[in-house]
Amino acid sequence: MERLTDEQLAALVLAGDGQAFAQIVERYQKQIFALAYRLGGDYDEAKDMAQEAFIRIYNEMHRYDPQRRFFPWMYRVAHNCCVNLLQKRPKDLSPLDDVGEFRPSLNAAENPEQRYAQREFGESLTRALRQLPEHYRTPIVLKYLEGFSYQQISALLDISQSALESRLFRGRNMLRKLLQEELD
Amino acid sequence: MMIKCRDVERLSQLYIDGRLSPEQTFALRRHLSQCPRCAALYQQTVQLDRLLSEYMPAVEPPAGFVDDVMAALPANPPRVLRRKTRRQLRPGAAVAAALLLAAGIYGALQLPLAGGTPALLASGEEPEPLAWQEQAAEPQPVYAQVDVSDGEDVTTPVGEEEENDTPEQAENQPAKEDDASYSGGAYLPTVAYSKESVGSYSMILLAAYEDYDAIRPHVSGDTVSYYLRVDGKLQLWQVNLHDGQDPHFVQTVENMPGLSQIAGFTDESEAYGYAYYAAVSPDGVSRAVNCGGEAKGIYVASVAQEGSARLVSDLGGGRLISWGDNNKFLFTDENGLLHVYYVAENQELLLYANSVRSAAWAEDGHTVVFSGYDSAAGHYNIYKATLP
Repeated sequence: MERLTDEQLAALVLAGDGQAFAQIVERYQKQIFALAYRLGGDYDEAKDMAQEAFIRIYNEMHRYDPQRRFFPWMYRVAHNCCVNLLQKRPKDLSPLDDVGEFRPSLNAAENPEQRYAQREFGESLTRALRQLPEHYRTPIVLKYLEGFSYQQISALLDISQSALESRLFRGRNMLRKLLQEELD
Repeated sequence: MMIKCRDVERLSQLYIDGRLSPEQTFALRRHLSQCPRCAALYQQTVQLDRLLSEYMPAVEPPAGFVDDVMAALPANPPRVLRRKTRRQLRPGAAVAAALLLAAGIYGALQLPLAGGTPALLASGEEPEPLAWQEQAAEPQPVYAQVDVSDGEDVTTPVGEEEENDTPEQAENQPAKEDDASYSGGAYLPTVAYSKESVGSYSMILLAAYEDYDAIRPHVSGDTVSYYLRVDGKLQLWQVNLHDGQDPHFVQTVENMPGLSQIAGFTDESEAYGYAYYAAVSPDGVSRAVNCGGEAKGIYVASVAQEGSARLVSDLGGGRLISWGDNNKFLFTDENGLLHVYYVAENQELLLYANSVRSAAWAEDGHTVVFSGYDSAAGHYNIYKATLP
């Protein structure tokens, strides 16, 4: 079953094969979890949101058009599900607008000075990223934050892999210059 | 193979991403070992990649996540539904399908980006022009004969199909107001990360026909004219741009206007030896070019200043370029997808993530009509988009 394409797995799910959906979850748990985490900013909440997203995908499977690629459809259903969940949560929790800061992993720094320096750099990186044009920033975020492959990003953005290469190239170049300005 | 210094930065990034062939890798490494300047550049590239990876750590789901999901799934498997076959329309019948939807906000156009906190607004390559299609709450069999693009489901449980004798009535029903309330931005097929916005746009399906492509729309005043090829003959149809009335058959015609004529560009491909479509802005100041071949891309230049062309998008390669007002023009990429480019904002946006055969502006310079492919229905429909 691991060798089946997404579309073949989707067809099996619609034929009532529960294991096929387990394979889909196995295959994309990382991406959907990362999506939930990035949108919500909380690990525990991301677990619930990602789980809810997969349930939504399962319930919506009959809407999937087998003529199209499965992953972009699935990702969008998951995204809409997560956004809906976040909009329903209490207002005192961090709003959507405040999430998405880029931070180093918590254990990376060994002492307060290092932690401070890392936080400073993280803020500089966030500011630099925000200055990037959307069509350059999006591939970078999808690649580094979401961990998507070239193939997946191409499908999500509906661009060729050579166009993606070009955007990543230009985006990273621009980012490096912006970051240099930030740090100077 | 030999590598030149000017290629090193690009190749370094591809190398880091694991996109180089062994031969290219070998050539790059050899060049880096011989060129200290490029080696330093390579180190900068590696450092940025490391920082991005470190500061944007990929999070891992907890152990046992798959089992948790499977345990939480509903007991019943998803119902297998299939699309309902709509009644085939007879040529020359009254209106085949004309579905005017209440104008709705489909998602904010995401323009300049300063200060915006990254927040995923939309994603996916779904080609449906109507954003709310994926937003229907729970799976519900729909028995009404509604057009595929109106946001309602067009599926029905297997074995429960029924012939609908009056599809025109159902298909011509204006969409419910609720249909237009979706604001999740799903129509924007690219992933947008900015909150900043200069406005919104609406998208309306003007005409769709079972089994026929509606093509080559153009606007004169408030009248949209377009064509159907029925039994080898070309039919001219018209629909009002604003009033929501059904389209009507006008007459059978011999010819229809050319793509370049209705979009307002010139085809200079023959002179250049590759795809080259150019259009001048209404004020005569700027010239935009949709270029294919090795120089593929969208270029903008000052008409008065030779050599002023600048690449504004690496898309392009399509067969359309068309100015609206002096600040924006449409273009198609090599896959026929329709984009709009805002000159002052230097921003390109994907308008329709499926093949577009032709497009034309209304006189206001903001409203565009186009013939876009509807994958679900398997033919081209006429859409109207109103842009900021």
